[in-house]
Amino acid sequence: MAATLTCSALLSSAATPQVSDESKFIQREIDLSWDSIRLTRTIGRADLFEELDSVARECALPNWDGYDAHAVGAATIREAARFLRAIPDGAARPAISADPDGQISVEWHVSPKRTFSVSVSQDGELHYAALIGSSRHFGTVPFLGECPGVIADLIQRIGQP
Amino acid sequence: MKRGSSPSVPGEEQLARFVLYSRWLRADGTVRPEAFSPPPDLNLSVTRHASLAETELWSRGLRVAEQVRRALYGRADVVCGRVVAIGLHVEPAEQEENPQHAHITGWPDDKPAQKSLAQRIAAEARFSAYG
Repeated sequence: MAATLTCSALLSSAATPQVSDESKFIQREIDLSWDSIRLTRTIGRADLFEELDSVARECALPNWDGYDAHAVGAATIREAARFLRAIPDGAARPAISADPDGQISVEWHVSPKRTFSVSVSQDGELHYAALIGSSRHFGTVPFLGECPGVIADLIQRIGQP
Repeated sequence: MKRGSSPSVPGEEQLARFVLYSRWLRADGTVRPEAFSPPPDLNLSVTRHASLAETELWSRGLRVAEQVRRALYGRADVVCGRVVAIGLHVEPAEQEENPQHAHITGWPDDKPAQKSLAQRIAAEARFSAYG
């Protein structure tokens, strides 16, 4: 968990008077995101939001992956929290991570050839890709507050035996 | 370079992607596609196994991790020919500290197509934990 410790150390240093305006801005944006996430927890799925919370902390600064990844910004976290709220009831629990371009990825995984991933952008776009046997599905749909039909269908298909 | 061609790296050669972020690993010991998602410059860094011994390969990974002050969780190995077969390139990109460094290039511009290719590479990759 060196990455987590590194981010935490950097973030805690943002409270000191010597840090840059950029660091202060990042800290403020993260605080706003966490407020949003905490509000969202009231509808349930608390463990998912805890996971999103952790990813937000770990990926708040650039190069969190060691390969020059973009930081995950507050707007992206807010959109991801909205998307998590919109996942259909009864769907399998996804896992949350981040992409090198700073988007949040949400994955439903059964096996390497039965897997589905949705990346949430700061602009509220959902980029998805599914691998189901030799069949591939991918595309982009706007997120308008409800889970798009194509995403709901693929979540269901991944879970089918 | 012609799409899918890879003149300098033999198709049978293994490529290692060092994993420095824990959430790119699944509990079942497989690697998530994000580990193979291209960075913003679309040059995905890998290390060719070439003639490196196992210990030398890990030392390269440790050096990469030390340079960026991250933990080394392991490496995901994939055969070069599998990468080329899906339309990407593998181009040697020697570095002073890592002469076996290479880039996986030729990524499409659109994000969902990138995700789909990363999923296919991840499905073929074999993860080895460090330590």
